[in-house]
Amino acid sequence: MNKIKKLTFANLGRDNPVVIQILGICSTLAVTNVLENTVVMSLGLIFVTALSNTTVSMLRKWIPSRIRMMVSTLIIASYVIFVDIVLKAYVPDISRQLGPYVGLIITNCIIMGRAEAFALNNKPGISFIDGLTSGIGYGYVLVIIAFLRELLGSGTIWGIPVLGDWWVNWSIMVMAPGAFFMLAVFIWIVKGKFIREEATS
Amino acid sequence: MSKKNKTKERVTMVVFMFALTVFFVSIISAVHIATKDLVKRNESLFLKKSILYTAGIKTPTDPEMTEKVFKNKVKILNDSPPFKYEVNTEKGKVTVNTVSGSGLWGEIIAHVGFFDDNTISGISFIKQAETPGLGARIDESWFKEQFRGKKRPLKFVPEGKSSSTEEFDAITGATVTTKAVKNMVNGI
Repeated sequence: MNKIKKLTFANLGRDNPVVIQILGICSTLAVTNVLENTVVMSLGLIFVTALSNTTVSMLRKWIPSRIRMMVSTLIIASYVIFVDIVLKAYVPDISRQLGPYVGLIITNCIIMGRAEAFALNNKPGISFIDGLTSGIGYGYVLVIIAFLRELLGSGTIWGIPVLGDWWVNWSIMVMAPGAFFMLAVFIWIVKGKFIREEATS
Repeated sequence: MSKKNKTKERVTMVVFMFALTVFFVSIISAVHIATKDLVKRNESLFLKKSILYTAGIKTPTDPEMTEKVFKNKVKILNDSPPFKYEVNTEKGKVTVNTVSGSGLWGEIIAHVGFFDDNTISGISFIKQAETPGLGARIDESWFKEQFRGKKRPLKFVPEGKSSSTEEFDAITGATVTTKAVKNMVNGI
């Protein structure tokens, strides 16, 4: 139980995949200009990391070490295609909006990183928790960034106008460079405010 | 490691990878086959809704009703690309054309409908890959709705400034996309 707690806190905070490990940046830049897409993307990623971690962990004793990356990629790709098909069949509108982004989950380094660094050396149960919390750690950072980008860039939240007519949209916020600024500022604040204290204690 | 062992290791790797691939591909194929009809139906429903929307007919939310309305009112004039339809509406006959143009990131495909006197009945985008939050706003209803009743050739003016039937609002920060839409509407 203690191990799970420690792992969860690490993935959400001190070892956060986006803020600390700087992984998954491509998708952070690409999808965070609209909150709705970000949430679907994050849910997809959480699903895929959790299950691919579990699967890799279950097979870890049989995977020949020289081809372990191929095996992980195969497993990850299968889950991602599964998510893609399910979205297409049951929520076609969101699937259409996300377009190629769902397929790009395959190349998200967080999933591969967790399979490589954690699932290959740990039992399925704890690997599942690790994948789940890594995904959540990624998701909540993205949602915060998307919230701010959509608010500043389009004056809306979840597509609903909140800022009114006086607000002049910051076009740069909805383009990729806006994500660079937002992410950099976010990492700066988090590292300066929270992480340093933990390191010294 | 002896030569024999190495060969054995290699064979194991290939067999393992092969077996795993077969296993996962079978599962994915099964899921794909199970949902194939649903996906196909979603796509055809999407196109039908888009055609009705373009012609200015309110689309029912119920899929079966949409099919029924479509069957009653739409005649297919050209069933190979570029698809062309004729829709009977309360305001008269509408010809819906499928047009394409080059956006910022890729092809934009749209349905554009015209009454007999060349007035635009509506526009609906069926494929676009523009920047979300900028060019992708062509899919928002304020942008699509403004075309109803306008006359070609159209030109675009800054967002919120259009005042006549020959002008439409551009999207700020998405001039390339707006130009593509203008050419698509005018080009037919």
